[in-house]
Amino acid sequence: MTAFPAMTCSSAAAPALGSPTGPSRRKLLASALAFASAGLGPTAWAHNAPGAVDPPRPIPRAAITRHDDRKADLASLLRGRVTAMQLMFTGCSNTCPIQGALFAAAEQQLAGGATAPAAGQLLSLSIDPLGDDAAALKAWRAKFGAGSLWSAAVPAMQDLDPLLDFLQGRKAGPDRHTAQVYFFNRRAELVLRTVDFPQPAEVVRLLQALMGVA
Amino acid sequence: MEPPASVGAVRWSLAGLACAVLIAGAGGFWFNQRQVRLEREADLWAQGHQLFQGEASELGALSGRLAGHADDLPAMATRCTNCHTSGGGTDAPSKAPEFAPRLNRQGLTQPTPRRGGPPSAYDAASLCKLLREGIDPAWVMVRQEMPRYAATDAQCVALWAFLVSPAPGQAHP
Repeated sequence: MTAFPAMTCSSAAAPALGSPTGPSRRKLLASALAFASAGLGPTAWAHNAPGAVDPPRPIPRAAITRHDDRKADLASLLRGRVTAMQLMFTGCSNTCPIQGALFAAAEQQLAGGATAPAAGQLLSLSIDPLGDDAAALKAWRAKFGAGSLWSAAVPAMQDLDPLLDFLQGRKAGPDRHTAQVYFFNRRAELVLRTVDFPQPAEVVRLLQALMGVA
Repeated sequence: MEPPASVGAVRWSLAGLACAVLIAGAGGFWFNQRQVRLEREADLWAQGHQLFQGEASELGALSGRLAGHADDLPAMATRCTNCHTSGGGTDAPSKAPEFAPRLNRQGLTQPTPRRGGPPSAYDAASLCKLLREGIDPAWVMVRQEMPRYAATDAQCVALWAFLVSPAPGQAHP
């Protein structure tokens, strides 16, 4: 990450983000805040709420169908691994191909990393339960050459709105969702929202920081 | 001594024939030049169409990346047609919400307020500036998700020709 003006981050009751503790955790939070705020105007702040989520928030219950047609609860998919999640839908031709390409690059970098890539994962979560199913998600992943570190899933219809409320992931326009990346710790708690379209290298760097390998 | 009348007639005939040959030659030359020009315009239009669709063309791929990013995106993520429609100058506006402006001769070349800026119109050079730098003719920056393209001059010319010209064999709408 390039240099940003010095930012402070309260150390009082700092929540657990993952493995890092003490000064390294504060450093991570400050770093994440600086990254998430890069290039932001007040409007973007208000709508997308990028930055560290303090305290971390557990993801609401949501039944999902994965690209391999396995059914699960979203929290169980997230638990045990650090996750970078993006919103998308397979019928989206505007921003989603860009998001897919960025995650494809991030997965390549993550897989090429020296340390425990399997401790982290990428997840594309569809916001179109009516239009997307396992087959559509599988085909969408295949277009980008997705590997084992990157999965896709679609929530049940009744669980979509609570998820979007939780993520603050709505956006006006035909694509209807932000292009942010949402980071979850190993306890399936939301710890960070980025700005729209973060660079793949930043996604990997934040994943690795949360994994405690950076 | 004056030449006989028949000789004069022959001279006149030869002169007439020469004129006819000249006129036919000029007409043929003009026709040939016109055909060459039309073929060149058709090629340019086709190349611009291929670039717009994100297809390989004689002019090479149109590579692009998001502003501030280090790496190019794949063609499937940067093709113009992902977000824009083209042509349709006299079409009724689509009722479906469009993600990005429809690109056609009328919309590009008529002074129009864009992105909250003052009225502005494009030409080939300003389209090229927008493609490369993301800045429109009124100096307003386009949205973040519009890639910045490493467009060559030839690619810019072809895209402009495609966007503001009718398809080969068709008249302007």
